[in-house]
Amino acid sequence: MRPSDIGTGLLGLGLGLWLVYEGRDMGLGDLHEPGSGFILFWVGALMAALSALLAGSAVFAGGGGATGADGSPFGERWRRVPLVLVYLVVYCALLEAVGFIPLTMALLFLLFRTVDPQSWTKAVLYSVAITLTVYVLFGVGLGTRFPAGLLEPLLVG
Amino acid sequence: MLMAGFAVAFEPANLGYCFVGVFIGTLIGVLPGIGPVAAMSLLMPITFYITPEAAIIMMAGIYYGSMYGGSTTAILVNIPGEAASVVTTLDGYQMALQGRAGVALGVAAIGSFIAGTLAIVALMLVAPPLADFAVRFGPAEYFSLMVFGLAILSYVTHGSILKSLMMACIGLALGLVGIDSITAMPRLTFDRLELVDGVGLVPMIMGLFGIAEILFNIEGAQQRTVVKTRIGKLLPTVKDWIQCRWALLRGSAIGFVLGVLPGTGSVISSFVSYAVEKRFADDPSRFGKGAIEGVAGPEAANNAAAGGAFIPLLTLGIPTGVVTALLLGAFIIHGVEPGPLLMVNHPELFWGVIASMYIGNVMLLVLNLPLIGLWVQVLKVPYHILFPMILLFCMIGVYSVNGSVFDLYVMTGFGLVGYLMKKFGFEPAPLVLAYVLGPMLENNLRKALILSQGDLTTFVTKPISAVCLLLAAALLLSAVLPALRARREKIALDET
Repeated sequence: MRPSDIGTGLLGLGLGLWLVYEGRDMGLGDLHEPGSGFILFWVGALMAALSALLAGSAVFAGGGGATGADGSPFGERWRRVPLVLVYLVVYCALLEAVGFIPLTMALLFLLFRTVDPQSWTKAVLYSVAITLTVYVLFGVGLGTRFPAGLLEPLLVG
Repeated sequence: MLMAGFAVAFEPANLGYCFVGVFIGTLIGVLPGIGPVAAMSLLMPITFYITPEAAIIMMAGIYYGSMYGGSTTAILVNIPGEAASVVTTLDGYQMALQGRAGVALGVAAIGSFIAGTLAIVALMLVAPPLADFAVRFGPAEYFSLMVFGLAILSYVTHGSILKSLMMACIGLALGLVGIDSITAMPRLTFDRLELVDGVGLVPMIMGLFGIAEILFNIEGAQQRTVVKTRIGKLLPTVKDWIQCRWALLRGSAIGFVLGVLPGTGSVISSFVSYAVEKRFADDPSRFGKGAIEGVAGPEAANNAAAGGAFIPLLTLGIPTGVVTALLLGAFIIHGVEPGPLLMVNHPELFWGVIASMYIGNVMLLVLNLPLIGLWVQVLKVPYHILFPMILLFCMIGVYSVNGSVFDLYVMTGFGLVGYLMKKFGFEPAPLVLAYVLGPMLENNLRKALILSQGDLTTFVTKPISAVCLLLAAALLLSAVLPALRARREKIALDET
């Protein structure tokens, strides 16, 4: 039995059935004039069938399917992954309100402290230097419009 | 026409973008863990501000440039910078340990140049007649061609066919998000205005390949040791040339043919070339211990394959791998439809790209030999600086396209999805291929059915369409049949 394949198979089955429902809802049309949901319906049906096959074959298959030494498919430093994702989501959420420069400095600082932990001094130096360089290169040089946020009075005048 | 192409390629701006492309490609190839796909994704937003010719010239430069750069890491660090350079580690690193790192790097660079040049000449000869033939394609033929393109998935992927096809279904569904071009009905938009034009290609690929790659890398320990040996002189001796001359030519031929064939590409061609050289060698026991043919053949093969992969893209409009799928995406973003009419409607683009590839190869030769010292320094940039910077560049790259925070969320979401896919043995390449081909497949299917008044036999009564469907069936069967599947999985296992 391969539990991970059973899980992903069932997830795929759910997704496939949802696509079938959405396809039907949009209208299948007929062979003379296929509707908006025609392809979606058949893609969903195929997805559901393939997922059921994956889950079914995983039930009878040998091996655990895990890759890590401790039986987990995740590496020993896996906790960094959700942390980095949280940083990115928070960055997205605050970008327009806080602004590119202060928020990017904060993001880089956290990344330097998380990815392969650096000393506080190094992390601050790297994040300030990289943010300012990137801002000059992209914002000033290439004209990319970054949100000014808190620094709007200073940057926009 | 080629002269007109050179006129386009020699325009100062295009020369500049060609240089930027091959330089970044080499840089990316040198750095292990970051592939040409991530680099192309990162730079795709920049291409919105330049002409289609410059955009494609730069993107193509990244692709074949990365093939060159990958060998440097393989030889000096024993880590393949690119999957296609895996086989170069076998003899290249041994040569470096024996104090012949310079010769190995030299033969890899010059061999890559020779193979790249031969591939471009072959591309010039093969592409026009193939495009002439493809002009006869109607909606039914195109639909079947797209099905064939999707069947290529069975060879593009290294793991489970079942999982690849599931990914293809998700890619097809993602490609359908947005307004239906025939009925103008919104599909899977969840009433979000941002999704009316569909899921963006740039945030999707940057998430799946850029963010996911970094997430995957940061959970494990990253270590590199650059070989401590004198690089020495870079030009191989006459004896070296005599020893590897046939390996270079055979590698070029193998690479080009396998590059044209769907799904095989540069990775398999380098392995095939290595196997062939070992078979032809007077003393096969030298292989794995620093045989120069073991570097020359595979390096020639993977560069020739990069050239060969452009044939199906430029003449038929079908990508045979994820890199060419990205190039197809770049064509579409710039309003250019690749396929048989590309040569007629946009001759300057078609021939300009081909001519620029020739110029790019010369640039790569110039870059790779004198700048070896620089690439060695690049290899010493620590990951703890590199990874946060790549994450930042992904965010900037996506935001700069539309100034949309929604796109940043989409990219982060696909980053998580891509990371989990890697963990559970699902590959992102089929998803991207299907996403790119999906809308074309749907449009041609619906047009073909409307034209034939609902007659499904139209797909098998038209000879070209029937051949495409037969080939697709053969590809899928060959991936499923036990004996052939075992062989295919062996190749995949060898690659990793």
